[in-house]
Amino acid sequence: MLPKRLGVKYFVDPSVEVDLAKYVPIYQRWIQREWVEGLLIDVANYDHVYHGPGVILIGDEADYAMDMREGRPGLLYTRKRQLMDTLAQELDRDARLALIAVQKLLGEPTLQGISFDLSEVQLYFFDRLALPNTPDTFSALTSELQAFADRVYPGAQVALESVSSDTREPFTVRLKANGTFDVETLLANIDSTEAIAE
Amino acid sequence: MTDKTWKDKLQNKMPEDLAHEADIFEGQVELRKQGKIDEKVFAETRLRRGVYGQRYDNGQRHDGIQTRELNFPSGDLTKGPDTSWDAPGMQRIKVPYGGLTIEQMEVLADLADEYSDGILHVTTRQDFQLHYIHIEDTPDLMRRLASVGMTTREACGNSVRNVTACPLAGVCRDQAFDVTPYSHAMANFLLGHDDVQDFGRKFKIAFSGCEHHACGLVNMHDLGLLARVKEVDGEQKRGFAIFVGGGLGTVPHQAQVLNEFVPEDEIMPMSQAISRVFARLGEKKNRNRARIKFLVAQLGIDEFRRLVEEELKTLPHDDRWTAYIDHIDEYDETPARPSVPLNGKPLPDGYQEWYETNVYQQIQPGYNVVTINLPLGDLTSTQMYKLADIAREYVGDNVRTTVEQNMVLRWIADADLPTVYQELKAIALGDPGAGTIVDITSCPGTDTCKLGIASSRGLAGELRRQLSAKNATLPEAIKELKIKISGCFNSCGQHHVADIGFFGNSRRAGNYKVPHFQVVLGGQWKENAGSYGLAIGAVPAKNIPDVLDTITNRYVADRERTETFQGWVMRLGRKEIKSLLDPFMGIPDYEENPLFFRDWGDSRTYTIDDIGVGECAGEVVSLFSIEIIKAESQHFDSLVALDEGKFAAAEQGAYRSMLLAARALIRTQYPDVTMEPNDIVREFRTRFYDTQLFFDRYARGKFAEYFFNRHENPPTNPDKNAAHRLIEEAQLFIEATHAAEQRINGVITS
Repeated sequence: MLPKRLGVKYFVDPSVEVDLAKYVPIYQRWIQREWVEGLLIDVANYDHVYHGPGVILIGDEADYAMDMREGRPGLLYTRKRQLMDTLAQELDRDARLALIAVQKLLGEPTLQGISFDLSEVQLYFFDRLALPNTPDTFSALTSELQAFADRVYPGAQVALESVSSDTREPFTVRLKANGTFDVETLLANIDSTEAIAE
Repeated sequence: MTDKTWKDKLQNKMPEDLAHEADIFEGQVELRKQGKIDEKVFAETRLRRGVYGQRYDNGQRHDGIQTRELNFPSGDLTKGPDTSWDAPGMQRIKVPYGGLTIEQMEVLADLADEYSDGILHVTTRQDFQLHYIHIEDTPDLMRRLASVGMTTREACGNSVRNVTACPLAGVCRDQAFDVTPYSHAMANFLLGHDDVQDFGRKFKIAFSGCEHHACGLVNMHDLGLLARVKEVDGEQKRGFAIFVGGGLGTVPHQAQVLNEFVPEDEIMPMSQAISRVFARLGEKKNRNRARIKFLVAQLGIDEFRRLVEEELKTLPHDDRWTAYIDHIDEYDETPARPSVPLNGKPLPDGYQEWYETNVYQQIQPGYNVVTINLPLGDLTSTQMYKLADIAREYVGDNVRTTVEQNMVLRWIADADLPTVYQELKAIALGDPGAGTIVDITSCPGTDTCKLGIASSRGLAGELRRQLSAKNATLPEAIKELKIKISGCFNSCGQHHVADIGFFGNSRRAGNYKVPHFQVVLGGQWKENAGSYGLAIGAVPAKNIPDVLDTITNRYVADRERTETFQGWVMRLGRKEIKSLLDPFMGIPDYEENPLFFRDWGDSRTYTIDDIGVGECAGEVVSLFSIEIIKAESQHFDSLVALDEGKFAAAEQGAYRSMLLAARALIRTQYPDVTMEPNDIVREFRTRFYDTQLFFDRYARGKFAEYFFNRHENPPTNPDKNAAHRLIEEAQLFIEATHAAEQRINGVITS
């Protein structure tokens, strides 16, 4: 079942301090140069809000944010429109676009020293009707999420865990793989799988 | 996991009227997608459900180098003039008197997370706003709100906006009495009322419990009600002083007293009569002069009063005028915990500073109101869940929003204050300084508003950051001042009633534009927004922090012992104060300082090319257009019922659509027509059939006869054919009603 919205977040290395003010000009430039996929509309700055959405590049089909929720900065790609037919396709597509955005951030001259811990990815299912944050939902999606983990981190051991037991929060799953990974490898892993083409 | 829809899931949780509203709107969304509703009419109908446009929804945005087309996937489909269907919009949610339950807080958080960007924004009218919403998500959003008793109805558009009240009502030490149940009753009474559907502009109502605090700010409202107790025949009677014709906007007006004392059981008919006079005589064509303040000023308060008194005599009786009075005494707030004194408990770090600015001792001994100082009125969904947890533990459903874009927790026992402080601090909602200079109010400005000229939120964020950093060393006289910022002259940030107000404008410098803020000084927040400030001069946005320092430093140095900021401004005079601003008015060359040509919080070179056409006023759409759309929506629903094989419902729906169409036409002549089918048919026959006004050259009265026939001969068990036939007839009748209205009134109705 496809969630109404799906978020994919890759975390910035904990040792890196994130200065949100730097992301406003970066995202404005991304709009000017159409630097990432999709119709890009505007930049929303919530740097005054504690553990909030940070700075968001608002798009039509998806948003890109330097997200601060849980106090853990990371690149969050949130798909807002349903474009794919299956959850597997959706996960691959969204993870791929999130990783491309990570890749762009790593190349930003104003973000010298930024790095991401790509062994971990967090998936947000913003759909409290179809996918409430319950153990049942976790059980129902485990095999699909495991398959996704196998595609992104082939050969690695990947632990899956539900992030919060608060049923009010969106169903959120953390995937943690053993090992270290770079963007190019992960992108290649996703591109070599069949899910998108199915 | 489920395949159910929100409509299925919440079916038994929604009040019938709110569920019906969401269904109707969903039908209208579908009709608009099919091109069956005119875009202007659709714009007004969505605005009347709080579904608002947002900046760049005309499909254009200046990216700092050039204006770019935003090619939304919906192509030419619009949700209003020049408003792309797929463009993100804003949803405003009404919160009468700011009152919230825990359940409502949690649903609001869910909605922000799923449909918006995870942020809940409190407005200067105690509403919530969610931004970046897709229009097709709004019917479900409305259903989820309805399931906890909330509505978006008439949150925008030319109607009665959220009814506000002092957040201390009921617990205030100075109030005449608790205005909460009255404001609640007024909000319910006027919601969707026939007499508030034909305004040329919005209409804002506020309730105050006392005269001298800021309270409900009745002086700046279209209609203000100030609680008073009067001795009548030896008995203490509750009532209200009625104020009309106040308002901020481009041209601020102080309200005038319509009546010094209206007994509590007469305020509903009084508000209805005022609404009728406004609807009948208020400006409709020129939106810049369409607020009631212009009508009151034009007629004079004495003539306006006479008209209202005349109107009162003609009002048909309504049981709802007084029905709520019997339940006023039943309105009561229950504290979640017993009142226990602090008794020397150790106090956490920072507590005292927070206590001094954020805690108000209630009139009820041992209880307190805690103000949560929200930065720019924003909080996240997660913060809202945690706040709901705190409320559940310590105060129950006693939570309110404020017009200063904050929230308050009421009924906190003395002994709980330190723990509540620590719990708020843990989610970064324990900042001190509520109601002081760091607690800055700001409208959305250029962040999301189509009319924004300068970045009010950007400036507010910067000033908050700078002032918070030096808050501990600020002199008391400065701490007490209020700053309010609007992104343009329309005053949504209420800059006129701040000690120090700013509103956005722009100036040209060579080939560039430079964001500026007009400095407005000496407005009065107290005394129910007792007076408005003086505009001093426009200063480049980047110089505003320096201007603020200069003004406040001079005030501290100059002020006489008990002199207020207002008094100081008046004493110095505009000319002298302007001289303080003069050194900051210069603009450097672009090449010398390009950063000066950017607005606060924005890295783009400033432009005013993105300013669009505002929707604050809504579209000026005739009463007939608003009424007939109800018939069309009903007709659409009957088609859906037919497709689903629900023939009786389809037939009944078609008949109902005819009734609504007939009523739409009748209301152009006789606004008081009831919803009773017999009344509608009788009035329609008398006014439009017998007079042949409804007749066209070819069909004559044929389509009206379809209507009469169905009314007089309802089928007992209609089959598919019968339902289908009546749906066809209803369509023809609705079309004929449109044509008749155009012939009779000689106007284009959309």
